[in-house]
Amino acid sequence: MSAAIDPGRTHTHIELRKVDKIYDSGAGPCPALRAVDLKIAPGEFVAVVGESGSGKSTLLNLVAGIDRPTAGEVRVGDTAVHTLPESQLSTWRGHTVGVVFQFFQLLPTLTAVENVMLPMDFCGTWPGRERSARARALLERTGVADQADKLPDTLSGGQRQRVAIARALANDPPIIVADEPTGNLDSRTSRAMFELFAGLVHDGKTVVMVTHEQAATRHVSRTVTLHDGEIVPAEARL
Amino acid sequence: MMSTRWKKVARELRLHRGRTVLVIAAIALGITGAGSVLNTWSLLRRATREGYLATNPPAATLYTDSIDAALLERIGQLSGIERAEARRTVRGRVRIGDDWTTLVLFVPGDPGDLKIGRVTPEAGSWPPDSGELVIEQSSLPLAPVAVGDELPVTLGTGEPTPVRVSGIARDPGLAPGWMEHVVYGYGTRATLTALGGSPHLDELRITATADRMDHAHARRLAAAARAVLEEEGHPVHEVSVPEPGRHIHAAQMDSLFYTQAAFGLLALGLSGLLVFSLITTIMAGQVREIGMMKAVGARPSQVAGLYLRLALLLGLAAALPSLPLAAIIGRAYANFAAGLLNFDVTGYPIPLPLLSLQLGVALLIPVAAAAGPVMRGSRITVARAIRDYGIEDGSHGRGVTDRLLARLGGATRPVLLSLRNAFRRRFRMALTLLTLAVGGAVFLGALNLRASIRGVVAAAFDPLQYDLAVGFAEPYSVEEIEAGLETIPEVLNAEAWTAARAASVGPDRITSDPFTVIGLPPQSRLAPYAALEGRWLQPGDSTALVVNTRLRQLDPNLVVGRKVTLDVRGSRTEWTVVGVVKSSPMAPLAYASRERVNAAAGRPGLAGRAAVVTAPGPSASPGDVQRRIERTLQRAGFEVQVSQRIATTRSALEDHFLMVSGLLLAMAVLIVAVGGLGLATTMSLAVMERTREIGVMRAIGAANGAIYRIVLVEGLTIGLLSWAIAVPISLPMSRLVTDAFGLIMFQAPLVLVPAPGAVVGWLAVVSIVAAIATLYPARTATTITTADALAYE
Repeated sequence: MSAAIDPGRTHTHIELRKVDKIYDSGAGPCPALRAVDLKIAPGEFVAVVGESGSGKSTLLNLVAGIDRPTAGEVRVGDTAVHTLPESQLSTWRGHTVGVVFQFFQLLPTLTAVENVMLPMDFCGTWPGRERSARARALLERTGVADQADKLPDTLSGGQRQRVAIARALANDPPIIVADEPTGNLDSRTSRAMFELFAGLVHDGKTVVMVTHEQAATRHVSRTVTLHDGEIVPAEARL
Repeated sequence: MMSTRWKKVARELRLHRGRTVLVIAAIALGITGAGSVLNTWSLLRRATREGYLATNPPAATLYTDSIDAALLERIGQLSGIERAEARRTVRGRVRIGDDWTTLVLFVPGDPGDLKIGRVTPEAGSWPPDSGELVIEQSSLPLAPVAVGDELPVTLGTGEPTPVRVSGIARDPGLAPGWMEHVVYGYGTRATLTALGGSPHLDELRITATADRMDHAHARRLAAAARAVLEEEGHPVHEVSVPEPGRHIHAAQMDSLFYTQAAFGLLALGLSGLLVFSLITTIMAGQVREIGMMKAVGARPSQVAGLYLRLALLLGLAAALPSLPLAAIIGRAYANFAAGLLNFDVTGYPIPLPLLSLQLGVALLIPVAAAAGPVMRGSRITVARAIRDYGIEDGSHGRGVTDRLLARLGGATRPVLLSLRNAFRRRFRMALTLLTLAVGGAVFLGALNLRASIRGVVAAAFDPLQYDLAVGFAEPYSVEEIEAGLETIPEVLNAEAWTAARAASVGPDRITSDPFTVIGLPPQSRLAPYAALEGRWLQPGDSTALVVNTRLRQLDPNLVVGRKVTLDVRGSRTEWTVVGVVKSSPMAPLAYASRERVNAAAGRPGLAGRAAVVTAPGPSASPGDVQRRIERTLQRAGFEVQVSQRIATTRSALEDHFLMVSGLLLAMAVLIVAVGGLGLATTMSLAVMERTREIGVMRAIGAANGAIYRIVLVEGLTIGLLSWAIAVPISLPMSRLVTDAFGLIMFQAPLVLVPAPGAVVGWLAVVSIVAAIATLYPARTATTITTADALAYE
């Protein structure tokens, strides 16, 4: 891996400087984020909240290198994510960021354990012989070890999301981003998920999560509120 | 102004350009394939039927010693005979550059009044004058001459005489000269005399006034003519009554047409299925839009009408390039096939109903393919249409196959992903597999046919222990020939053989179609055929007759142990069939003792041909040795009429047959092209359907190379599976084509010989096809960005 995409595991802070994101639509330019400045320290558990269309998912996608800013900079550790070409972004992401989606997005033709092993295969992390054991250990940690050899379509929503979290942890990335990970789960399962994320933070991960759940506020270390693409200052929320 | 519905249709086509092009290409390929075969067939059918009958072919030809005008007139007045003409056919040699080539010279009694087996002048003048020659156009590839050139010609008697080429003509009644490796020429009796040949006309050709397509009637007329000839004291050596109206190469044409028509239709059917698969997928992608249209008031019939219009437009777009292309290919192929048959298709148009049929089929395929999915799609409820899922749609993992595939291990996850993905859309995969596997089976069938043809030719030629056949202008004594050849340093071994035309005499005293009996020396070592039944010739055999399988097919009475009567040059003798051998696949031949054949032909101790084993030196090519032997024999007083290397004869025969397997291979290429297109379609649709999955894979760290490999391995998996299916189905396919070929060409199935390396060769071809077909979809997959993929609907 080149130095440019070194995940910098030990001091992986996230920094957004004057970030604009404008989508082109048929009706003309549509600003999603405006001049966003944000710093997230290693080990923080940040909840991103806001109304629908406020730019929460866009912010998360920029942190994960899934999308690029129209203007401004996105830095994760020593890496200027906004400058990486698409081909390098995948590898960088695989090492640095674990992504958890609202709809789980497990590959339907791979079993749970195989889904978890997939990022290791892509990034070549962990020796080949150890990948299965590691994947099963991660499934154990997320509470679905007994579902390891099942296909995703035979699992419940909660079980799928636990597999998805295990997958996000596969390459031991310092950062986990999660876009409404409980949006499709019942309240009991959601609570269990938040506890799982809190455990990850306890283990030293940085977690940035978009959520609508009030229950999340009990677990997070910071809440970032977005309104019309801008971060609402803490004092303004009072 | 264009209605909104038509606007939607147009925009759909433009929006999904890739799929639009694939559907159009699939229909166009099928129509082009099947249309080309149909167009060829229609052109050839007209050209051969009309062209051949226009020559007024003879109902029968009788071979005697000489025919004069009075005899002709008497035979012409026989009941049922419309006309009688006489001619002479002699074999000689003509020098083209430094090489001598066999010349077959036809000398009609009156070339200016040729009414039977008419020829069509193509250049220069007709009829030829004294000292002139008209060359048959199919010989031109062998003898590239122009009107006005002079050709040295010899009939084996004396020095070559220069003869002026006065014209080029076409004789559709002849097998092409380039294929037979002979130069056909037409001359006058004066020219024949000048070349030292006998001016007597010895072939009687007759035509019938009525019932011209009745073979039995033609045989009766031939018998009547024979009776008159014999009554007038002219012995009849041979009677030939060909099947009326049927060209000498009609069997080959039928063989070509039927195999290709079958595979052309197969290609059309497979492309139809491909279109069905594509349109089904297009409809699946339109479900949400259908829901929306219905939500705003569209009736099911309006929705259906919209998509059927789209299908019709696709058919029209495919017809535009494929109809002219099929016409061009059909005409080019008809020209080629007509060349094999010595016909000309110029001037014959492709019939309008045939073009209309092709247009109709082109329009119908997509509409028929769309009908089912469109009807289902148009009946879908709004609620169901607008429902959305993530990448897990709940359908995978429930079936037995999914569960079995989930147990598949031993590979990395990307490889497992490729293998399991290949089985996700099973109908589509089955269709692609079917097309590729059928293409593979036809490909293997064509290669096996080629190997089987080579096997037949090998069975005829491998036993031959000599490499040069020499034919003399007149018979010489056996001792003279063998002694003369032994003095030549380049000759290792030689045997003088004799040959006579014979016909078996049935109980009704009617003779069979003539065949050649080859007379071999008592201890011949140069043609030791292995007997399929009975035995081969032995020293001391006298009346023993060995027949080849071809003769046995034509005359089933020739069974081992049976006594038969043969008519040889008018005299009838008794023989006993002692064995059956496999020699020439097409020529009916019998083998017997040289002395006995000579005795039956009334020329004891003589031989007209020699089988020679040569010893080419390090600096002399086989051709040099052949010329040296010819010259030495000429100097020793032998008049060599023809000499031919066995290797040349063998390759001429192989070329003859291998064209069929070559054209079958062309059909296989067409089907494989449809299969490749099917695979490209399958993989493109797979990439399109899995855009979100690709995005997820990118989100969890898959780089371009990994995505590329996943798609490529999936394509290769389908390719390899198709190979595994093609290999077993190629066996019945090969059996089918070899049987059909054998039955049409030789009236007996061919022995199936598997082509060595074909199975491995096809593995390489299908892997390359799969890799090429997957290239574009794989590249497309790598261009999908994570953000776009996850936003994709």
